[in-house]
Amino acid sequence: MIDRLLLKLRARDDVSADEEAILRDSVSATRDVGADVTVVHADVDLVVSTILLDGLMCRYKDLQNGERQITELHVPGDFVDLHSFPLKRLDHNVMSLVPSRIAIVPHDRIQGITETRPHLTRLLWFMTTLDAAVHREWQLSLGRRTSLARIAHMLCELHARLEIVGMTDGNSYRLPLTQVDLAECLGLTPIHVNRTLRELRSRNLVTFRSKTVTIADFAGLRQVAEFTPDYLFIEKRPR
Amino acid sequence: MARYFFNVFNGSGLVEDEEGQDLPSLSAARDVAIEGVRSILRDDISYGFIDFAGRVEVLGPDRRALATIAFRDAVEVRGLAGVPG
Repeated sequence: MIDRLLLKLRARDDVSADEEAILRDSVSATRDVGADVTVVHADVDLVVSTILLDGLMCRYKDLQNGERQITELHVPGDFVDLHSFPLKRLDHNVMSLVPSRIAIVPHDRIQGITETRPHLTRLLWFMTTLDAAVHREWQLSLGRRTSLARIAHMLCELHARLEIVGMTDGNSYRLPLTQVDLAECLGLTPIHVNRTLRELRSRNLVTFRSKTVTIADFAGLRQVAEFTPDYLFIEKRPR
Repeated sequence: MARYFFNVFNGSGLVEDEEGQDLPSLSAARDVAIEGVRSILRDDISYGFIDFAGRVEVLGPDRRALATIAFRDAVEVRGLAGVPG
């Protein structure tokens, strides 16, 4: 059930059979949620964290005028709010973008891990610091990258993250997002996103059709995006 | 709610909206078109130019054109008269 979480971790470090069993036992329930459901609300006391098993979710914050910024996309295998364990409440919401399947991990079980399993604790810690690294890269995109580079970068990042959890097919992957979702990730408007995707397509770098991203020219797309996967820490080493 | 589509015509030709957005009214769709144009013009400025030669056509659920927003009409241009050529 949490196989994608294990794939994500094992791309970064060894996870022993014992540790795997503890992670599997940490899940108290699974749940199916529809599209566009806010699964975790900001400013509500939390006693569980959530793993995304299938689907696509995001962290977001809204302004009073309805403008929304998605601050990170979550792919299967991600703990979407592991930071709620130490924070106890979130400063942002977490929403499903498509019908999704989630696993619930009670905080008291995470507490148990932190008290008895130092290496597994460090792996959990690693995942929240990895989220922070992704946030920093998105800050760079939102603050400094051109719209073309911004979209290119996000498409490169998603390929890298989905590849780790076995959800790519060569240079291609499913991305069931709307233009509105993309615009909210990228700080652009849907019309602008559409035009910029056309520009990427006309440069023969990447296409996004029928909810499928196909990267035609990996080197070219990475160059436009100034993408390197360094910030995703895809290296297996003791942590 | 109805589905509106936003086709962009400018220097690089037509960018067709195959997906559309669900919006409460044509007025909301016009606002979306205006915001879209402004977003594109912001991008132009970051490259050091503004290209007003474009328009967004707002299409209804049956893909019939309901409104056109010229790029030029999405922003108010101020101060040009007082600027020496």
